[in-house]
Amino acid sequence: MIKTGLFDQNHLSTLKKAVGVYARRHQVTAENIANVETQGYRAQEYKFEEYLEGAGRRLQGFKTHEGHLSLGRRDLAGTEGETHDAESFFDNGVNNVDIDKEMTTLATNDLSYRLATRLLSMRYQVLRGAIKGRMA
Amino acid sequence: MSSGLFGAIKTSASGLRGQRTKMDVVARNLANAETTRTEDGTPYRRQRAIFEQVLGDKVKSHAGSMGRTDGRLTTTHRGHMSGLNGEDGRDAGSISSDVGVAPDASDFRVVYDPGHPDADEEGYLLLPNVNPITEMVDMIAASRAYEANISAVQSAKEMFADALKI
Amino acid sequence: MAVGNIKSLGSIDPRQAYGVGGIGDGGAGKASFANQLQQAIGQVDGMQKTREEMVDGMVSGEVSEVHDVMIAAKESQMAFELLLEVRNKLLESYQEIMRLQV
Repeated sequence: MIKTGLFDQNHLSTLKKAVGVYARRHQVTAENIANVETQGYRAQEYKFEEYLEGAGRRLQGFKTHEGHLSLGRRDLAGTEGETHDAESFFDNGVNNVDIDKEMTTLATNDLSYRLATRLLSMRYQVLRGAIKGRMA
Repeated sequence: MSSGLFGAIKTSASGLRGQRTKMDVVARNLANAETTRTEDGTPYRRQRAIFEQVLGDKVKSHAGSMGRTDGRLTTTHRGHMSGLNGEDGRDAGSISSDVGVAPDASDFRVVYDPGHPDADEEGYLLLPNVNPITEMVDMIAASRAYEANISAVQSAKEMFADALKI
Repeated sequence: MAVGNIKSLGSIDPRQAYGVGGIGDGGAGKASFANQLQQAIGQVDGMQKTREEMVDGMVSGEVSEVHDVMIAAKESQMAFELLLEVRNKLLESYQEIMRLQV
């Protein structure tokens, strides 16, 4: 009742998922940056948003992949991200890490994480207000 | 504590160490660019910082199946980076970079300078295989990479602080 | 939204707690409400445990993410608060009933 009714709400689950995605992406980006001059290193990336875009186009009762898509609705919270090789042909002289791209990803990801945690805490505030019958 | 944001900070720290080593190497090369005689009588030989991947325990067993038992993809002459090997508790599954310092095998420069005390009988002098321009380029690259790793640490700290406000 | 869900908790009929069930309900009303309350307490307890585990994990260096720990802490706190409010409301209605002149 409490657990499944209160904290599994769509928007809350989405935000919790997003926070996890951004944290993971930071790890991957930090690793790329630390290995910018490592011989034989292959740049990695954490994909998540791409899996959502495909899912969005196939609505109306068509399940493409178990766990990827809920009927009639984009199942953000059910989608899993993955770490892949970036498959980039960039050459920095030693490997395929593009430091400028990594720095950009670092910055936007940082901000996304902070926005998501902020939204999460705001939502919790509203819920607490509803619980107490007044604004918390 | 090597997953999540803390793990990322450790990774960035390893990157910082590596770039610092590289900058030290560049500084040493530049300082010795004209050293014609070291303790063993030969000119100073340029050193290079080589970044290799160090595999965590989880990946070590996989490396073992590839015929390598020391968990490293490549081997280099270990410089002053002892204690950073995979055995000291590095997290399973993490891949970070370690820096080894190795001598540059390219030839010494030869210059005709019979007046120099270290010149040989025909008046030829062997000079270190250090090119200041190459060293400066390396220094700039190292310093840029260092700054990038600092940014990564800053990001992680800010993200962590914001998560605390949930 | 989530607020709707909290309102829906109001659909739990407090009269059932006191055995005054709906017509035809008899004593069954009391049991089901007590059941729900029991379940809720169990869930809150479970969430507290999860929160404890998260904190232990964080201190011992195993658990991964700071946001997971904070989320677990926040949600278990809120679940507890919800239970507290439910208890308070029950108490209020009990007192009201007692005040009624019979």
